[in-house]
Amino acid sequence: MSEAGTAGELLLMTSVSRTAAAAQPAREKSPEALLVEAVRNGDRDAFGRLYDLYAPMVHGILLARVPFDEVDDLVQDVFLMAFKRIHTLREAGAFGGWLAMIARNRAVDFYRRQRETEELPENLARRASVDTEAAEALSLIRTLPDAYRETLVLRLVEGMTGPEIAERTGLTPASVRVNLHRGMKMLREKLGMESAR
Amino acid sequence: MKEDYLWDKSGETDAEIAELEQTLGRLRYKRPTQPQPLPTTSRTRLRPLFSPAFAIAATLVILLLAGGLWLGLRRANNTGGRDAAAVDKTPGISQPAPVVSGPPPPTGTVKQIGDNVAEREIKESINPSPLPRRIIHRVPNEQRQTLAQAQTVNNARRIRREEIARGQEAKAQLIKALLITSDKLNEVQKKIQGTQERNPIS
Repeated sequence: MSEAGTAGELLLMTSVSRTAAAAQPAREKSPEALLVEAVRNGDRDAFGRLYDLYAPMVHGILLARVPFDEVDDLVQDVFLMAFKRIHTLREAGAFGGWLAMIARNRAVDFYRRQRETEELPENLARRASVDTEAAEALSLIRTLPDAYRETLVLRLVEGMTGPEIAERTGLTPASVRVNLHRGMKMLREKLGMESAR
Repeated sequence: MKEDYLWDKSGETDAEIAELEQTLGRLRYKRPTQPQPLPTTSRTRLRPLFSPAFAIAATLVILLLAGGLWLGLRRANNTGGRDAAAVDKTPGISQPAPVVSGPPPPTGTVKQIGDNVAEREIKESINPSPLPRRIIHRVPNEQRQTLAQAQTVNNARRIRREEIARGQEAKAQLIKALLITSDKLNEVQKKIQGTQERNPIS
């Protein structure tokens, strides 16, 4: 996929996230927002709870973009970066969308750094423990457009429901629903499933 | 309905999706047994060598040093005048006319004495006496008389003028150096701000 296409899709997702964040003040403060404020006040355990809540989302976003072996390290990177910069977050309720954006940027940064250093063969870093069938299905999902693959990975790999995906990523439920259905349709076609015919 | 299963796992189970979930679920996130420790504070960050705060602090330090140096030079110029008057009074020196005579002994009320002292200091700062102090201290006693005889009041004034000229030259150089430093610091600050604006994640 071209970089311009990726950037365009990221921009689209950003605008949707911002719209969702703007609607946040009208609602009551979510438990996540309270946790964010607690972290800002120096409560480190609160960040641990945020980690537990959002780690699957960050994992899914990264898994949709970078090699499986790199994902765990990058998840740690993303949370470390978020912890250091949490005081720059304006809306505590927009933490999910903000974190998702950090994860997407980290994935882009991963490829930029890799290009600056050296190219490795595709199969060199593949861990033997990764199930071949799962790896193949994942590689098919990763051929889909950015927005579809991210939503599908969160749904099929991380086991999150549509409403959960919307809540965590800051996307609107309607966007998530569209991404899920269109993405699933494309995946079925690629897998040659009966329901796609 | 099968579409509901994809959306929120409710309704009739879609066998194909369930199979995909089972397969891909093996790649699901597993919490690490030992997560990476967090840094001590959320506000700690590795600062670049030339941060804006560093640039401002450096500028302030340089300005303070420059101010101190300038005050020191000015004070040296003022005290030099008084010592020159002392040289004028040394025995053996031909004195056609005293250039700056010492102030008369304080007489009168406390207020008058204070006024006299202030007036004297103002006079000295405007028209300081010739020959700075260090010339007196550096010349040994044997040579002092010979030197004093050779020197006239005009010589003393010339030395004084040279001293002042050197001081002003040094001051001008210092100001020029400060301006260059300030420009460099501004450039660095602008570059840093530019870098931060280009790469924000927030």
